[in-house]
Amino acid sequence: MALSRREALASMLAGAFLLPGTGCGAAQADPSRTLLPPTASEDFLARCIRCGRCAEVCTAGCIELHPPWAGAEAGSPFIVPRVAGCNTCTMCTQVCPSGALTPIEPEDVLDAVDMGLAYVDEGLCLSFLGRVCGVCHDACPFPGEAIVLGHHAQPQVLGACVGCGRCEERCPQIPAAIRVFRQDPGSPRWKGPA
Amino acid sequence: MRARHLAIQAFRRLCQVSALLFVLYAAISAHWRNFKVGHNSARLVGLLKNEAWGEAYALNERALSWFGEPLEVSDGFLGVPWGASIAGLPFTDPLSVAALASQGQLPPTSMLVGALIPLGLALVGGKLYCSFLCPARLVFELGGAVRMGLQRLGLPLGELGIPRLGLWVGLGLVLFSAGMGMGAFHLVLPYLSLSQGLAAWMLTGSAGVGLAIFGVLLLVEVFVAPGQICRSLCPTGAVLEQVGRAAPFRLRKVDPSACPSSCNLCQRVCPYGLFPGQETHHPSCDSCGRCTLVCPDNKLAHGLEWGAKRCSD
Ligand code: SF4
Ligand code: SF4
Ligand code: SF4
Ligand code: SF4
Repeated sequence: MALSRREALASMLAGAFLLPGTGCGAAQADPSRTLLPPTASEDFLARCIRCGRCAEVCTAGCIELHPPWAGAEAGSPFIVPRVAGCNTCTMCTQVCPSGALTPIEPEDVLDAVDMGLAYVDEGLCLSFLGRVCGVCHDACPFPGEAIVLGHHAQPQVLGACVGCGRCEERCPQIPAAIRVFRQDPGSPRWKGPA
Repeated sequence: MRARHLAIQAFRRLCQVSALLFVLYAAISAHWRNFKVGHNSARLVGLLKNEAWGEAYALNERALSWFGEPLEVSDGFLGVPWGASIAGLPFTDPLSVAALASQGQLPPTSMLVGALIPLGLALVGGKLYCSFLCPARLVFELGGAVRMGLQRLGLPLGELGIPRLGLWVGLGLVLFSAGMGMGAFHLVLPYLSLSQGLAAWMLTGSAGVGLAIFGVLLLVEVFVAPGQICRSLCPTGAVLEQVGRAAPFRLRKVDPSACPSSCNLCQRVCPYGLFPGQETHHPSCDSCGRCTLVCPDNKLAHGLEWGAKRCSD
């Protein structure tokens, strides 16, 4: 292939500069209000090859894919818990080819999954406003372990919460009185290093 | 001879359409599985969506049940050709392995195994992936047909020639991935972004992205630079071309007698403007075989030949 060094450099740059043109850096969904699929690795965006298999296999239909103009996240999966929470079926972890998700079995979920942490807004929660609710507890895949109900079914989230987001999906209050936040330094509800 | 050429073309179309249908089916199956997990009944799906969907649900279930437990079998059809699972077998673009490795990540075994399939295909048949399986190539061929029609009408159309930079584009993207710690191919690689757009359409019901990518590829082919994205820019094609430099299955001029000097039918029909009649078509030729159909003397054919290809560059 006869190619001058200048042409070669120019085409490499062209390849790289096509990217900002597609909207690099313009995040579309508020990252603190989206979750990553279970067992996402720390360098998730580097690992994920954007094959979409996790979204296709998700039994809850909760995994969505960022559109091409989402910059660095384009093509990678995310979950909006208020739309649909994760069933903790672990299928996505088992089909991921790249190691972006670590394969686990359903019985490992409580130990291995940390998608975020649920927070109850006591000023919104129906049970704290005097109307016995407790829907979040019933929606949780680990009732009694991740979330417990006190007097008048007032919910309390425990450290075992895996952040699946089913409580947020089902909470009948508008806006949701229980919400799940990613536990990383960018999150408005970061608890600090564990 | 001509019957054989026609059969190969029919088989090629079948393969191309199957690859496209695979992408659509893998994405549509997501809904099927959600209904399976949620309701597990064609009758219920019929009541919820309508009878046609209920029947489609039952049909899919019956087809899958030939191969085993339907839900498990269905989980084996996932992804896009860049990183797919086909009947449970991995299929991976070698470039996705390169992009991952360039970021200092060890690609999992299944990805390495998956990359062996396209590499093996290239060692035997060169760029057969491009001509027989690539979903974007189908769009480009559609564009080529439209272009030919417009030319018959006498419209002046652009004909930008682009130097062959596929390997450099690939290298640039791998370096970009390494430097930025994120994948980049899905934004630039035509067949990947196209199939992602189509899959997203099937998953979410919004066609916008898929149609936009389809439209851009088509417009470039029809009005700007016919054949150039495949021949000169696509990094996957460039890698397969290098791997397949000595591939024994190739398109060749089987009849050594000289062509009449006035004839250039094969060149006019080649999507890349190559001239197989003069045996200058390698290494760009992807053995699509369109030229075999037009040669009045049947001088061109697919076949086996050992040793390096005679290349024009
Ligand atoms: S664990 Fe199951 S329900 Fe949760 S995101 Fe993965 S595939 Fe979806
Ligand atoms: S299956 Fe893994 S590599 Fe593929 S899109 Fe999902 S997280 Fe990314
Ligand atoms: S579901 Fe919502 S309103 Fe009901 S108890 Fe839980 S947080 Fe409160
Ligand atoms: S030379 Fe013939 S087989 Fe090769 S790309 Fe052109 S038309 Fe296809």
